[in-house]
Amino acid sequence: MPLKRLPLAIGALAASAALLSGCAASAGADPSASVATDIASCDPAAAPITVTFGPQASEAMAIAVANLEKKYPGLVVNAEPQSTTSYDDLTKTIVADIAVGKRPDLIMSGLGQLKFWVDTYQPAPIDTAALASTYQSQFLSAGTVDGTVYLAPAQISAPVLLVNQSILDQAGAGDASDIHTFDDLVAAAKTVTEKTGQPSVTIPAQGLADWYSQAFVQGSGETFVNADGTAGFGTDKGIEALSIWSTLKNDGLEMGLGDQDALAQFIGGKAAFMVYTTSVIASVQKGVNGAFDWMPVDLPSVGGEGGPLPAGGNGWIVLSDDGCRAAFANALVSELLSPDAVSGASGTSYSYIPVDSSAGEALLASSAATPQLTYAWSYDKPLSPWGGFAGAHVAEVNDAFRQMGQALQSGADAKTTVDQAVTTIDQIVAK
Amino acid sequence: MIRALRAVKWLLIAVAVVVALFPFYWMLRTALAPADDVFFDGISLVPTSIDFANFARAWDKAQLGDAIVTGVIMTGSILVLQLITCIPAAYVLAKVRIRGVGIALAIVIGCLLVPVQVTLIPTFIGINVAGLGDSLPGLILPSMTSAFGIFLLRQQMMSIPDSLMEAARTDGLGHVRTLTNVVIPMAGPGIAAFSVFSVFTHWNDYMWPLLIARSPDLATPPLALAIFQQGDIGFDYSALAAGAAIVTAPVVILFLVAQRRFVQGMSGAEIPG
Amino acid sequence: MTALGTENANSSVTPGESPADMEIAAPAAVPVESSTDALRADRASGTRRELGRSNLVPILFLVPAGIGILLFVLLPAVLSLVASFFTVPLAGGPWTWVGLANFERVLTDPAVLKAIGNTLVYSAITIVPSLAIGLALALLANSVGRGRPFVRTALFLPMTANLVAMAVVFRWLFAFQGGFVNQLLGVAGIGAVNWLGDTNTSLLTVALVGIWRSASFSMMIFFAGLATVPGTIHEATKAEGIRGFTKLTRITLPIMKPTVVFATVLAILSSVQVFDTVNVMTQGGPQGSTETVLTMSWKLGFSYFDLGAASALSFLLLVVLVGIGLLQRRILSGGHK
Repeated sequence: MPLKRLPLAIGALAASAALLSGCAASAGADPSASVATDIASCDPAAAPITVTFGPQASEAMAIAVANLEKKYPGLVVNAEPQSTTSYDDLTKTIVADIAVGKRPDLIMSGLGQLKFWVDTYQPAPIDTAALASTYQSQFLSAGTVDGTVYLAPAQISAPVLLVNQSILDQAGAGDASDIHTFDDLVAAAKTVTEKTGQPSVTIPAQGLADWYSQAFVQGSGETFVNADGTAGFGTDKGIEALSIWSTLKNDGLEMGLGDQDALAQFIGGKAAFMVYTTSVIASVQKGVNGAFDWMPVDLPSVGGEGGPLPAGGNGWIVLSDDGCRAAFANALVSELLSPDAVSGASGTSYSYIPVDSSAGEALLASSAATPQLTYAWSYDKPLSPWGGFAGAHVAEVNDAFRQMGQALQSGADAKTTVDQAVTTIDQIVAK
Repeated sequence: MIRALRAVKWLLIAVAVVVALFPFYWMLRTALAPADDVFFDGISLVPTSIDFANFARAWDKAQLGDAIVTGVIMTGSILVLQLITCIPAAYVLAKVRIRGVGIALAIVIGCLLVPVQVTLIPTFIGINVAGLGDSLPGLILPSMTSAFGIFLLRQQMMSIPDSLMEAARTDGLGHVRTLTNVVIPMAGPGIAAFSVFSVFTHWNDYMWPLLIARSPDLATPPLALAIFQQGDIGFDYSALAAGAAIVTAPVVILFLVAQRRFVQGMSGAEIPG
Repeated sequence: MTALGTENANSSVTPGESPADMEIAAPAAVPVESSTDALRADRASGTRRELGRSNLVPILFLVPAGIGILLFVLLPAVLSLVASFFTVPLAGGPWTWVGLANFERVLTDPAVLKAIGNTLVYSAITIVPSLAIGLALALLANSVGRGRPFVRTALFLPMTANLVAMAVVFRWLFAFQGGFVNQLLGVAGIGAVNWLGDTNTSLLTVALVGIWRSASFSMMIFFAGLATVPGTIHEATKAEGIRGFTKLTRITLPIMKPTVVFATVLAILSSVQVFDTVNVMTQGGPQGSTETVLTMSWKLGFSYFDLGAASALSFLLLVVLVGIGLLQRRILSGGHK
């Protein structure tokens, strides 16, 4: 470029920089949400609320919005599901909306993203007193940060081991319900693999690697996140728990698949064991369609400790920056967690753990309650919050777990790999 | 010797054709096979039986009907906008000598080198600030013009003989009529080639719709397919393959129909010069 | 060519300031002779005044395209450059000047460095093979008499493929368990390879889809270019007894130089912007072995919400591309003028 055009270019740069700082100043509003005001003092017609959520809550949302609009005539609820398949993607969408001044009043969040929202956007607390009396309040712990409930869990799932009992029977590998420890799992998998000559287990270290890691560690009775926010899983027992990936690989038992291929292989009857989430049980049931016997069983652990597993799934967070809209958003949360809506949310297409006891009872009493779905619908073991590392860096921390899981899944030395993950995560958290 | 060379040549061609077509074949094989015949032991080039239900399932679950409508509207609007913006600009850059044309051309060429990463985030934020996130205009507008299109069409128009332009001028034709009566007909093959190119670029585009389209009814065909694949029902591989075939078919058909013109347009072979 | 949101991928040239530069960049296919003729004519008419016509209309002709380019290429690019010197909090709040900290961050982050390395490897294993295969296929398809339309159509088809759909199909073909390729290897007595799950083969496997598609695209360009080689050249070389490889390297390729440049630049741009296949086949894994510059800037921007770092990374890429562009122009003008 000839020199004479240089001033022009610099001028353009300077102008846009000035423009930007102007924009930035105006967008620099307080990121916190507003505490709900008394709903009785609010005019429904003056406080339209916007909800951003994924398609898995569509059924519940339709029921809840109808109920709420009946209760508060004139209230407008903008609630269209987003075509998203991951909670990370949903988070990206909402962050972009907020960045351009379109802050939604109520959002769906993956339980793993809770800390992100709390640390970055200071949501309004959930009005737990307004929840139905049949709401299973033990699940609220999965939405609590420092003693305050910021997220109302709506669709809950837990890590689970799915077992193809037909393959086990053919190989004489015992019964799914006898698998409690990682040693049991490895022994049964060895028997199957000896018979078939193929690897028989899949623990996909892809989208949910951080969740499975937490489940292995906590299930074995170890701490995942220390009280000071650093990584707590680098203990001997923590390493032993996480080494299930490398053990399976080194014994020739791990199939080495991603999420979708793992599901496809299990449903296709090629994988004897798969670690996944209870929410997928309904889909697996449809896919298997009676082709073989299978059962979900509790996730094994080191020594069958049975420590609390991290809760998966999603819930609702109130982000309103206006008192009245926060109040209506909270009212919508109560409707979303009413027995009717919970039946829709847990239902037969997703198999989430019902967060309402009467909805749970109704589902269990229905003709849809196969033994597999009963496992999901009656899940009552203690669950912990998902993750817990510094909120602003959730995505980066999860990527570190993905790295670790994939390294272990390829047979890397457990101690070295886990130690390195601990170092990486502590560095990220310290930023 | 020559016979041997010929045999080698045909062998190479055969291998190339098989490699080029095999993924398409495999897509159809999977799409037509029953759901339990996707992974199997051994080699099975033909499915055990034919099951058209996969197409119906894909159509329903991936909401491909809506996606195709969105895709057609988006691709069509982009094409129209690009032709409206690119053709006059290409004409000026190729055939009109006024001050500043050199700079304009340099800018167009410079834009060709800017990779998508550089503009992606600001454009995304800009579209959202303008309130066009999750809307058809948001999908369409960023592609309203194409530096590549301007450049390609300019090259085509360069080969239109200046004597013709001269004749148009002596006939008293202004720039508008020169463009519509002389240049556009002469640059026909180039315009056709660019049109086909634009259609399959935008029909197949995945990244921008992935960012912008959020309502299920705004998903474009590749996005609908990706959502279906990543969703809870993504293990339904025969339906997924059927969906892939449905998404692929329109551009393949378009290409088969327009192929001859497309190649000619890319080469400019029809323009006398 | 990848299906991208903008047409930026579809470049064919090096930057130049005047129309005179265009002769090295004549695309695909305009024959060299005719394009230089046209240029000469251009220069002649350039000195002529546009008698009896107003300049307003041509300027108006440029306006629509100008608006598009300004709004969706130039302005975003400038914003991106500016943002690379700031931290940009998405949650609101003022931008903070950080100087070169974003560049330092991306150049010291092992994950980003790995993505840069992967992009280089990916480019190396896709650009050259797809150009070579594309050229070979174009020559082969051109030499076929009977069955030429079928051969040509078959070889062009990968170019039209939807990369999302094809990435899904390739994922099955290369599936570890029960994938076609492994079954084939099994028949040949070779053990199954975890193509996409092993860090040693994952990038190669993703690259195969890229080669499959861009070889077809390069072939189309070469095919169009070959059609412009004048028949007299073929007769002359035949009379001189020049044929085969010698003819290709000494006669045909030099004549097709603009076409070669065009194909090369397109191949480079589509390689450094690979996104769809990675996103669908591996999502950057396993262990970051298929993470590329584009998926990494996506991750920095839309997952870590570190817009400054994402901008810095994009800009480094732009600098490299412009560098390659200038280098190519120098080499070419050295050989051409």
